Amino acid sequence: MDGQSAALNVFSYEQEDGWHHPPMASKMVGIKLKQGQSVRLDTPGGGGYGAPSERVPEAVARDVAAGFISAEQATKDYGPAWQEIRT
Amino acid sequence: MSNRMIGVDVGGTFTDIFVLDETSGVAEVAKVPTTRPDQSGGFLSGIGSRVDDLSSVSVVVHGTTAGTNALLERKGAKIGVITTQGLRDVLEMRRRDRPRTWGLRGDFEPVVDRAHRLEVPERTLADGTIRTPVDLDAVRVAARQLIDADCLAVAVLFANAYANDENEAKAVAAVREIWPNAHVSSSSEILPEIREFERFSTAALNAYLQPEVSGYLNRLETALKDGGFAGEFMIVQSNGGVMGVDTAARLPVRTALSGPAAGVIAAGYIAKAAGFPDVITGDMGGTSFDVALIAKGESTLSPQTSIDFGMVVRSPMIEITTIGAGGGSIAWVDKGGLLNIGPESAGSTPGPVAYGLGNTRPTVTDANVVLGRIDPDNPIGGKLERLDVEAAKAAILEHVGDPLGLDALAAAEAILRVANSRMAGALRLVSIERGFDPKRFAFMPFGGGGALHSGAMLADVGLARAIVPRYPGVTSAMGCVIADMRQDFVQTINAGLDGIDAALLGAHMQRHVSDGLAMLDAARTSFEARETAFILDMAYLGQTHTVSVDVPVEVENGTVTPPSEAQIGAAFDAAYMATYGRLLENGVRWVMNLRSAVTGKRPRFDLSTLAPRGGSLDGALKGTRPVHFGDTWHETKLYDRLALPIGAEIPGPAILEQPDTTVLIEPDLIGRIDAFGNTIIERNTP
Repeated sequence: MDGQSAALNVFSYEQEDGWHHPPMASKMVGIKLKQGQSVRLDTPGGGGYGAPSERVPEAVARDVAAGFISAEQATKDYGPAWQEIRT
Repeated sequence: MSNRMIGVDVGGTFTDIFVLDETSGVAEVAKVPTTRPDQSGGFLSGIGSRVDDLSSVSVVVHGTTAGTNALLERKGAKIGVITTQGLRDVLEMRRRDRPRTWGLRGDFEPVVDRAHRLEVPERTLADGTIRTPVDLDAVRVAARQLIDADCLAVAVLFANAYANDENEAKAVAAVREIWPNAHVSSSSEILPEIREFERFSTAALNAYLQPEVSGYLNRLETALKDGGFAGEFMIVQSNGGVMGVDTAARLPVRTALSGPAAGVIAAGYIAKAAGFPDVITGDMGGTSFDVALIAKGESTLSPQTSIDFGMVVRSPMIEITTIGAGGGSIAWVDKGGLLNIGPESAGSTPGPVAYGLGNTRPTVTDANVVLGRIDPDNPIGGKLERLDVEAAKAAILEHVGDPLGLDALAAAEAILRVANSRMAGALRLVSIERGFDPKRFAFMPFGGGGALHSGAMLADVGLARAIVPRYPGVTSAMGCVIADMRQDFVQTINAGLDGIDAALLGAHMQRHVSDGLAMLDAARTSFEARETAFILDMAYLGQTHTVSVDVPVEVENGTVTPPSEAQIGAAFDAAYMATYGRLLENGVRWVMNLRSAVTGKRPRFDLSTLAPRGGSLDGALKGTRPVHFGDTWHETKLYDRLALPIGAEIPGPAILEQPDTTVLIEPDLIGRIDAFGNTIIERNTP
């Protein structure tokens, strides 16, 4: 229904040679981490329902102000209308 | 100069005043309309109605709902938060609880917008070591950003600041240098206790309340001083003790249940004096019924309370259970044909149908009116001329009677039965479900409406008797005057009992005692005694839930002798055994928190100064009125309650009327006036 896809789940972990991003995170076993190395989990979004251009600009501006979405991404997904709103 | 103490309770409709002359022990009460929006008008006119000269007053104590209402109605200030990098959303994520257990919907907005929750680089580890020193330039930038965003208060919330407050203290000092007012809350100052969300939430709500509550208290204090008052102005805390107005302005979160706590304190005092130290209090207002249990004269304190969903305040509070069944609660029949009461309420405006102010849906009060239990010609409060019985009857018939196939009277009885059963459920919750046998307890209704329902509480819950205080409407104001001065402290220890650093524990205890005693010294009121109490929250290593362990600590002339490891161990074993019935033989005993309380005991005043003088049963009889009980009308005697003499016995059915309360004595009950003017209602067994 005009909705866009959500961001996917991303699993990353750090090794001595840098960051690894395996495609099927749930099937990983035996990864060893040294002290100071990190694991990063990006959880997926919920996708969308309806055309993004129909979302009220106030709601987009609120999300930008709260830091849920960057200004560039907001303009890319929802159009520039939100920039007129003062929060 | 006389030595007068005044208690003031500002409610939605009335401001109640209780004046105690400490020299003569004589007490007086007064009731004036609450003024809005500035409550100081009613506050001063109420005091003025009993006291000509404010300079003759030594202490004014106020139980306030300013904080409670600001939280419930979410009318606190626009505030900001400065927190550790990565912890911006702690207030939003809470404990992953949800507003409603079932269903897919439900949302929660923290009191601080995400845009005003700013992160700064710093990190203190759980053991108190500093991994990243705080970046004070980033703190200043964040503070300026919040000032520019018109935030009126700020809370500084750093990870693990309870274990080591160095980073947070530095940040708070930097913010205080540039913040334009005094409203800077620090999590480690307010609650140096482990558990991040509770600490953050308590400190953030403190900031949220501070502009509003401290402004209100300052206005009151200024108005009192302008009137010539040179004494001490104090505020009731949620723990039932009082604190100075300066402390209240700094720690407004401690006033979250100020007004209701004062009522419970007074109820306990009255009941104990009357010889019934075990009581369950029930405060019935327009929208809610608030219940508290007092065992052996002591009210229960809970360490933490959610004022509303997700609004957690962790500081000791008198435990008060609230259900949405008050006089204004609306009765309605659901799609399945079941009769419900509330939670929707007509409140006091427009109020019940009988008020004739626009509400057309029947309320609990309407049922009482239709059944003759409330005098339609003399409504309490004195705002209305008379109540419209016919309109109430029509509304009950339309919304409850017709859908259920009942006539208006049967429908009104049904409404009361459901309301009583919900109220009885709240009484059972605080008694039976916590291991207290209700047969040992008396029910004490206060507030305007509770005394109409006491017979039903005796019958439904099995309580032995009800005690209706002589002035149920001014109970909270009285509580202000008799409350002790009290300060609570907490410090997380988080260490094993084996080889515990007794000197460090003793130093924390000493700091709490010194601070608490200094507060009592600074107060200008007199104390009969000074008490200290120490509790350790303890568990076995690996357990989340702690038991409260009363530890024996000697305090002589303000100097603490800390308990030995063996003494603490024995006290823990006893407390754990009493709670769980067994000990874990190989368990490692762990000390989580130290809680200290320093109390200045106020001198007691003699309640009998409020007792009736003279009077006679016949003289108090005002007439009769038909009142509906069960399935029939009873011609019921009406008495002027305040004119009844000590020792009078009034068998039911009878109604005792006074300006702000109606006391109902049902046909199988008998009321007796005790030496203090309380009405004791029991089963009439010939």
